[in-house]
Amino acid sequence: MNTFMRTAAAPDIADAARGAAVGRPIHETFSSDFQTVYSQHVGFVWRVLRGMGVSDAVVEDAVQDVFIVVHRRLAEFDGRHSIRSWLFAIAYRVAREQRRKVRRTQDQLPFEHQIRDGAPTPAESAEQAEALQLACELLEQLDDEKRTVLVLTEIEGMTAPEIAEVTGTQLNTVYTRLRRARLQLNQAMAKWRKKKL
Amino acid sequence: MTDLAPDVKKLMSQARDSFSPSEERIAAVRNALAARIEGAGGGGAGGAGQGAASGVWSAGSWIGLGVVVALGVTGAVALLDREPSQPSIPANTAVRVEPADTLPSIAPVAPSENVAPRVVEPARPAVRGQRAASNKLAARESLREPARANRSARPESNAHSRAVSAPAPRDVRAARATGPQPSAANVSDAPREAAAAERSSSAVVSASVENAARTRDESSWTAPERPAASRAKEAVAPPVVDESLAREIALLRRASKALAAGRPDTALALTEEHETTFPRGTLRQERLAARALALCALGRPLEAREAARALEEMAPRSPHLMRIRASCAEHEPR
Repeated sequence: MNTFMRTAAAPDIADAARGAAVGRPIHETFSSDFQTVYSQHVGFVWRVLRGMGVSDAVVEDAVQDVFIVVHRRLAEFDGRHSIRSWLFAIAYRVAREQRRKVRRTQDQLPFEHQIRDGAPTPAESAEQAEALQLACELLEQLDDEKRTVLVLTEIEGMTAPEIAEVTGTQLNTVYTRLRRARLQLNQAMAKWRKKKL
Repeated sequence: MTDLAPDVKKLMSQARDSFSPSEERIAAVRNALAARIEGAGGGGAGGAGQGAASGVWSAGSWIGLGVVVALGVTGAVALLDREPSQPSIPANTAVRVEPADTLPSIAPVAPSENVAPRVVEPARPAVRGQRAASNKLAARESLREPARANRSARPESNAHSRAVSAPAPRDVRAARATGPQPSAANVSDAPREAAAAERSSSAVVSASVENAARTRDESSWTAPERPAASRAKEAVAPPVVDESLAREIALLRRASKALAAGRPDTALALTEEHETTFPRGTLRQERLAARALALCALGRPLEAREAARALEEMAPRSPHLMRIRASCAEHEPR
C-alpha cells in the first residue's frame, strides 16, 4: 500500500493551512474540504467496504470510522497521491479489522441457523436479493488481494492502471491478480450452476 | 484476456447497485459524523455550536445539501412521529426499511400508495448519533419547515436521552480507527467464515422474532404464514398495523446483525435502547437473549448469566434459552 509522506502541501491544503495559521478555527477552515471529500467519495468508500466483506448491518459504522480518520488527517494529506488511493487504504484497513472481528466473534457464538443477509426490501425484488447473496458468497471465496482488484474493476469500474495507482501495486501484478480472480469466479459460478441442476 | 462469464458479470453489476448507499443513508452517516466531530472538538473552534457557520458543516453548505439533509431528518422524525408523514416525502427515498429477511410484514406500504410508510428505520447503528445531530438539525431546519419543528418537540426529548445513552461505542471506535495499524494477522479468510458469521447469530433473535410476534400479537398481525428462514418470493408484503411492534423488531434485528458482524458493543447498546424505548415491549425475551449474547461477546459472563436468568424467569420454555446455554451465559437451569 502507499505510504503518504508529509512533504510540501498541495495548493488547496496549503491555503487551508495558511488560514489556520491566521487563527481561523480548524473546523471552519477545513469544513468545505472535508465536506467535499465526503460528498464526492462516500459512495466509493461505501462500496469498497461492502465489496471487501463488511456487512450491510455495520457498513455505516465502518464508513464513519473511515471518515473520522479522514477528518483527523486531512491536514497531513499531501495531495501527491490521489485522494482515492488514500481513502482506499483507510477503507481497506477498516474492512480488514471488521472481518477480523467477525472471525473472533464466530468462535464465541455457536449457531446452527443460516440466515441470509440482504433480504429483499420493498425496493428490491427477491431476485435482486438472491443475486446479492450469491455475489457476496463468490467474493468471499477470493483472497483479499484478488478480491480487491476484482471489486475495484467490476464494481467501481476502474481500469488496471487506476487500480495500480489506488492500491500501490505494480501494473503487471494487477493484471495477474485480475486474471486469476476472474478465473476463480468463473469456476466457482460453474460449480454453483452445476449444483443447482 | 480472461473475462468474467456473463452471468458473473451481471451478478457483479447487481452487487454494485446493492452496495451503493441511498441518499438518506449518506445523510445519516453525515449527521452522525457531524455529531462525533463536533462533539469531540466543538468546545474550542466552533464556539457557538449551533451558531452561524461554525462546525464541520457550516450553514452555507447545508443549503446545497438541504434537500438530502431534510430527507435524513424527515426519516428520523417519521420514525419518532406517529402521525402520517407529509405526502411530499417520496415513499422510496425518505424511508429505508431494514431488510426484512424473515419478517415480510415489516415491509412498508407499497410504493404505489401515497402515504409515506409508517414503519421506518432510517439508519442503523448510526442512528444514535443521527438523533443527537438531528436534534440540532431540527432546530436549524425549523426555519425551513416550521410545521415539523412543532411535531418534533415531543419526540426530541426522548431521542436526546436515547442518544446520550450510547457514547461509549463511538469513542471506542474512534480510538480504534486512528490507532496504530494492527499487526498483520492471518489474512486468508476461509471462504465461508465471514459470510456464515454474518448470517449465523442473526438467527438467535431474527428467526424467533417472527414466531414470537406471530403468537403474541395475533390480533394485529396481518402477515401471511411463512416459514422462518424462507426468502420472500413476493415483492410486496402487507403493511404492519402495529407500528411499535415493527419498530421493536427492527431494533432487535439490528442488534442481532451487529452481533453477527462482530460488534457486540453496538448490539448491547441497541438492546439497551430497546429497553428504554419499549420497557414493556412485546419482544422482551428476544432483547434479553440478545443482551446475554452481547455480554458474552464482550467478555462479561457474569452479567450475561444474569440476563439469562432473567430470561428464564420470564419464559422458562423460551427457545432462546437453549442457545444461550451453549454460550458463556450457561448456568444451572432451575
